[in-house]
Amino acid sequence: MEANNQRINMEEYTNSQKKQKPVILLLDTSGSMGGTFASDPSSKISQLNRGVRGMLTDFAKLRTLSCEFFISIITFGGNSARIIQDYTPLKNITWHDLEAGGCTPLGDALNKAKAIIEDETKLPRTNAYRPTVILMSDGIPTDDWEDAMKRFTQDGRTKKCDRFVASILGGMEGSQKREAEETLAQFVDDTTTRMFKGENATDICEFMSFMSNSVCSSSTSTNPNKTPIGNLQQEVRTNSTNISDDWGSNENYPNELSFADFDPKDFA
Amino acid sequence: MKRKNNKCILGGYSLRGGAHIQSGTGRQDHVLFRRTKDCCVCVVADGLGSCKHSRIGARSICEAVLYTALAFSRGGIEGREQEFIPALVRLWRCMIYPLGESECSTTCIFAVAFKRGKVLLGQVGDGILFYEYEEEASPLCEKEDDFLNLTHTVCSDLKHWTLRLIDVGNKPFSLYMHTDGLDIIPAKRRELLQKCREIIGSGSGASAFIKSLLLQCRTGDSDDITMAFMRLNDID
Repeated sequence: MEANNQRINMEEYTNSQKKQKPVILLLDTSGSMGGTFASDPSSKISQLNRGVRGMLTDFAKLRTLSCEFFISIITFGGNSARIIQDYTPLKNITWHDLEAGGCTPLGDALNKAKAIIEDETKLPRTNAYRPTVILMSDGIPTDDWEDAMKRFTQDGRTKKCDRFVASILGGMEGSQKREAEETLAQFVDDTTTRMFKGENATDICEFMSFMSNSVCSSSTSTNPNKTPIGNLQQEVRTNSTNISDDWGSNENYPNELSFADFDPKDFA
Repeated sequence: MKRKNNKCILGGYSLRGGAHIQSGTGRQDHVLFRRTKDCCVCVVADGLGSCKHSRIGARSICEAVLYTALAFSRGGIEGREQEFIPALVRLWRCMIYPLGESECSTTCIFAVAFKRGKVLLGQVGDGILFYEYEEEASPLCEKEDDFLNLTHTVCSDLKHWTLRLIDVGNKPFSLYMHTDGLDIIPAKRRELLQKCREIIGSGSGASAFIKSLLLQCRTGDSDDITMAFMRLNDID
């Protein structure tokens, strides 16, 4: 058999590229995200920054991984959505804290995310697991979002993504709150297992920390397509506290974070 | 182990994935290759990791292909090939009983060489069956799902199966099949088949040779890897 081993070198015949675990973040950076609640002095945007930093750091810490995280971050604030991080391996990401301002162009963000996910040169069907798409918003969209939402959730590859939403509607009441909730609920197939309804700024961080933990768990399992979650609302409340404590406060982190030379051993 | 007569060489191996070794979970793939007096059978199956009894599902579908092939070999496959998959799936359901289909989900790729030069190829779900016959060298089917591991299984609608009956007569025919734990570069598939044919045809043990290939591909985080090989008619 030794002779056979020498005659075929499988490295020449196999694709050694690591498989992709795509995570797409759609983040509301509208003006209202700069606001605070009476019960919670931290702003929503600062908690969002903390949450995303923590999530990316958690991803980078994972050592045993059958796949590599590929991330895209799209913000919707101002007059249009912005791809602040095009689809790329985590190691290529340099995170800069976000600032809040302007409107809530969710439809534009959905269109931009859809264009990325449908692109098979970026997410090859033979090399990319089902993307996890996380939408976080605190208000009612201000652009023409209905068609974009329908296309995203009902057509093509985006329909098959693992979609989650966090609505942080603590500042709203009555019909306005209901409208915002109903709008965001359209993003997911099942509001029990896929929608988190938060009230305060710190809920954003709790949600992000829980999602980070869930995505990490699924990515180290034998089936990275499946994010195992029961009742999302309950599970975020139960399981996120300890994890988010690990992330520290905003003051403990620089507002720029690079993952190029990130060594998981530093966190052992 | 090598199975060889004047007309057929078969071999295969299923290697437990590095990720399964690390997590202490068992192998969920299965392989079967068997030569009987009426037919030669080669099957690989990849039990879905998310299903509790996928290992049973994978083993059962391999055995079900063998028994279905034996049943069809009595009356000949010609003109009845469309009945093969429904019969196979019915038998598989009986074999996994009392477990449910969804607990035993598995993919399946098979080749059955019947008498009189008829070869039946079938596939549902991920993985590749690559064959070479006369001037033709191609996979039985290419992945159509949108993402990795979003796959059809034996439990899926019968329309998701790909089935092809080839009349190879006495002409040389060879193939390999593997589960999606192995990712062979498409442009290199034919070359690999030719190399395998060359080496296995020279008398080395087919299964031991395949095992040696798979061991090169196993990493600490890999899934199960399973591969089988069949060669007909041009045996020395």
